[in-house]
Amino acid sequence: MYRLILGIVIAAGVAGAGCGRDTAFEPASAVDRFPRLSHAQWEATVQDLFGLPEPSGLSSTFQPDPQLGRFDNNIARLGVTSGLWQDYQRAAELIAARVATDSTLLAKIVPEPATAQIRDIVTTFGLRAFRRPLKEAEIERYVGLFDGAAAVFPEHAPLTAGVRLMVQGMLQSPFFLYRTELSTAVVEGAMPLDGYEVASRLSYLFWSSMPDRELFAAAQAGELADAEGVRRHASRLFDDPRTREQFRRFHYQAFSIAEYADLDKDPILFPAWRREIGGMMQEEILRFLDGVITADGGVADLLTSTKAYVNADLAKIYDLDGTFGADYQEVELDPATRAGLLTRAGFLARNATLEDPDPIHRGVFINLDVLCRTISAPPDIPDVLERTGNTNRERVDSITGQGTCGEGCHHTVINPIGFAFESFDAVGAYRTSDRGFPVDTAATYKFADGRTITYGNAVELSQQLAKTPEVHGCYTTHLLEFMLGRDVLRADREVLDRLAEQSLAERLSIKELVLTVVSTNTFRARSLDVRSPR
Amino acid sequence: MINRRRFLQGLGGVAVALPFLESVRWGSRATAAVPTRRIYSMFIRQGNGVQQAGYGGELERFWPKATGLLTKGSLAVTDPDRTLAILSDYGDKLTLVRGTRFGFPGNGCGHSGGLNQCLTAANLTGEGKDTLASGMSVDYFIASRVNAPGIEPLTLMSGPQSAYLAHGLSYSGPGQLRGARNNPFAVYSNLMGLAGSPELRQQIATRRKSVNDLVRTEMGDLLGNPDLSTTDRDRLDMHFQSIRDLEVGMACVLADDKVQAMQDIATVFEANEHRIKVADFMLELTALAFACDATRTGSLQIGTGNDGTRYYVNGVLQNTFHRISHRIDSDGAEGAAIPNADLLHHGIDKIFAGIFKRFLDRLSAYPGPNGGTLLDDSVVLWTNDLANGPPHSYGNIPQVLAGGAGGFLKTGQYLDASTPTGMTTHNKLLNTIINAVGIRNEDGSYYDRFGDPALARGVLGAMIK
Repeated sequence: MYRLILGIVIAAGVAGAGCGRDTAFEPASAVDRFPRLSHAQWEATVQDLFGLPEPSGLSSTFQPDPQLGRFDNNIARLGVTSGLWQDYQRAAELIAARVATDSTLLAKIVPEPATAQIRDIVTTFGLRAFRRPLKEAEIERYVGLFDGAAAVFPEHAPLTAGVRLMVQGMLQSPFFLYRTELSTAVVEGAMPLDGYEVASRLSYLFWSSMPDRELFAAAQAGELADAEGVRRHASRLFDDPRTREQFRRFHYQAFSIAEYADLDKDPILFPAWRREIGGMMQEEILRFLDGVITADGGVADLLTSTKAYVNADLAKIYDLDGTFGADYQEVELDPATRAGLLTRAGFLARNATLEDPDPIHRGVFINLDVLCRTISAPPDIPDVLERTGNTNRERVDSITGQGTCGEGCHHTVINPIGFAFESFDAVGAYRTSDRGFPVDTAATYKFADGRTITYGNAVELSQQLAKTPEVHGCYTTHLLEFMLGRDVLRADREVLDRLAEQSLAERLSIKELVLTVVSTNTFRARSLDVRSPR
Repeated sequence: MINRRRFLQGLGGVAVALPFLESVRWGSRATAAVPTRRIYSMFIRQGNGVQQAGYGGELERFWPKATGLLTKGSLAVTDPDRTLAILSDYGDKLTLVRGTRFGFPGNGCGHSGGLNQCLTAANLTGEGKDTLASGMSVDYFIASRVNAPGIEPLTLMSGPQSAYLAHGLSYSGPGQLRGARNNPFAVYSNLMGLAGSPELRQQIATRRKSVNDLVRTEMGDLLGNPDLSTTDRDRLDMHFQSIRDLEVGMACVLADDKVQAMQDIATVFEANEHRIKVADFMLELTALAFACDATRTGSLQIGTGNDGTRYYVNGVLQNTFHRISHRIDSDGAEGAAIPNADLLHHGIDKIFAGIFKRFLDRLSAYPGPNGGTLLDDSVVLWTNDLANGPPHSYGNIPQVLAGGAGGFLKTGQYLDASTPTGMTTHNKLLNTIINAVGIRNEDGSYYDRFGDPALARGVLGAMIK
């Protein structure tokens, strides 16, 4: 049943009431093998590679990547332009100079200067920089750099000069800047990545950085050659505190949380509003999402949990009794009015005007980003339309509801979702009336395949969405995109179908979903069709 | 050092000799296709249209009353109530062009459709916020013809990187959207290059060469891989082509207090309150980059795709520009009316005119390579991805140019590019700019085919002397 529905959702081409199409897949194509490090990955990798006490901060001066794809690790974004090459060159020179003049950093690369062998330095540092053992020709090339180093860095001892030039070179090497996947052996119909390549996939997935000592050791020992070994190490990485930051990054992008910043509200209607509250709402929702993961929660919990993390400003919006300060403290929200992330202040305030809730944008967001339902772009804006009605809902309905030009998309797809949240005002506080009239939050939503759900309010809607295959399919699709650093392909369908089904039927936790993915060939192997150029 | 700084700040009033490496760069790229004169170009984009007549009963507050001759100071006399009067001091160096339109309709989002074609004149792919241009943008095209090999156009933005519609102005090819730098301090760091004695810089060049050679070998190994996907190959090839040896160049240096001011906002440059300041910094850096010939073209996008900046008008922080441009308190088509929204939009247009004027001031303060000011040897365009507020039309796009491009352009005029059959597609304006920087067809005739091949070819002859 679930698979059948998901198949319909994902298979493409099922139009919903003349409003867009539902498709989640790019055409099948060769999978790119050389993702460049994102700027965040570059920063974390350099910090780990040299053991810097703080991030270098140099990536903040890099040429930004264009906004293509949903996530900043999407390979479509990650080219090296001449401007970025120059940035890399400058950064490599600055880091190399710092290493050469900082005895602590230098000692990490050359622990015993008196007895150090250049070849050993290259081999040891090179393995960590390239995240794999160097080939003989590569070792020779970098050893060769030491020869002329003293002439170009006369201010250093010859060995230090060589290290400086080596670092300068390795940080500009494609084997540092890209996560190269070079395996070519075919085993049982797949092209498995080697242990070091799997190690990098894992470390960049969980930490946005290079493998740690233990992961390198596992790669060398062949422990990452089978699904069980990968899963075991992935489980360790997942439980590392650094992974929390990575999933904050995932949710931040998946749910457009960046847009909560810089919100403004009408100062007369909302005298307590300050711009800083937008940032607090970001923190609140990220703590909430993190909390669900930490408690081994799953997709359904994202939509139903009443746990929240609030400070004094947010407590007022949630109408909570008690004493609150600047710190965030865990509370339970009223289950009669709040359920999961869609009833949180950040989402509600972001999708509101200065004065009123914005049911259209609330509805559009949930359709696009929670249900992964494609909605046709709206027509160019018409002349200002005359709105009628007492409440915000009635006014919106008067120009987009039945019998208007908005009937196709708004009346059946967008508004029914948005109207469920009319009980939350422009800052996300609960309300029962609007301009003196009772709010109406009941609606019926029609899915692309014609199924319908009926609900009385946002809590009921959230609870029904938590049981909806499309919601699980959407979250797991985004998760896979993020984990693989690329758009999903037709070849991923089987894995996605399985993930969505397990998420819904077995209530798999987010951690389990992640571990399920890393155990698949999708994660551990290159697909065979990559051998044919597009 | 002080001399050079003064020169670069345009304060010294006397041009000093270019450092030796400058001449090395130019000597190394003599090909027939490269224009012989150094002409600079810059493309500045405002979003959300301008307040001009054409919607409802709104009055004309942007264009001058009559087409024809403009002289220094004339706009302040003839059209003091119009946005463009702010540029009155440069009347003799302006070319105001009404009557152009975009060639293709938007795909469900006027902003995105306009943003993606205003510098490309290309048709669009995708829809809504996922719209992309199916062609190269004019800044990149010009850079590929007039810059030293591998030197890209400056690609700048004032505003956040991540948004519903983010940067969408500059393309290196069909669908190949480029990232824009939005941190002025980072732009400066990149421009500044290396200072120091010729001996020191030569030493740096030597060690860079040894590293570059090694990296080229490694890139060659990767590119020799037999089963690369096309996109992998393209990506690696672009990287390979980016590796340059002679990148020591002339140091571009700003005064310390200016650098400090950029550094002061180096972590908050995306904030609403810094939008105008960042735009000014970016254009100051552009003038610097032109003055030291680090690049000869670029673009600046001010605000996101549907610029949601809250600007101050009459000393009051207003609703978002996007909503003002819709005249309602909503990013969509329905919402409560914003009182006097047309006047607020006009107020914001004047802010942009002020940004543009300060850029012209800056260009005028530097000596140009051909004897006049840098502005005289430039052509700079202030354009928009829409014509107006509602209804977000693509007809009569505000096209405001300044600079004579070394005498190529007939400046000091306000002209109407429309013909008896309607408005002229703006690819002809872009073609004219392309010719202004010295690019021609191989037979020496005017270059006339930038943009989508479906568009009528040609230049705007009335703009040319």
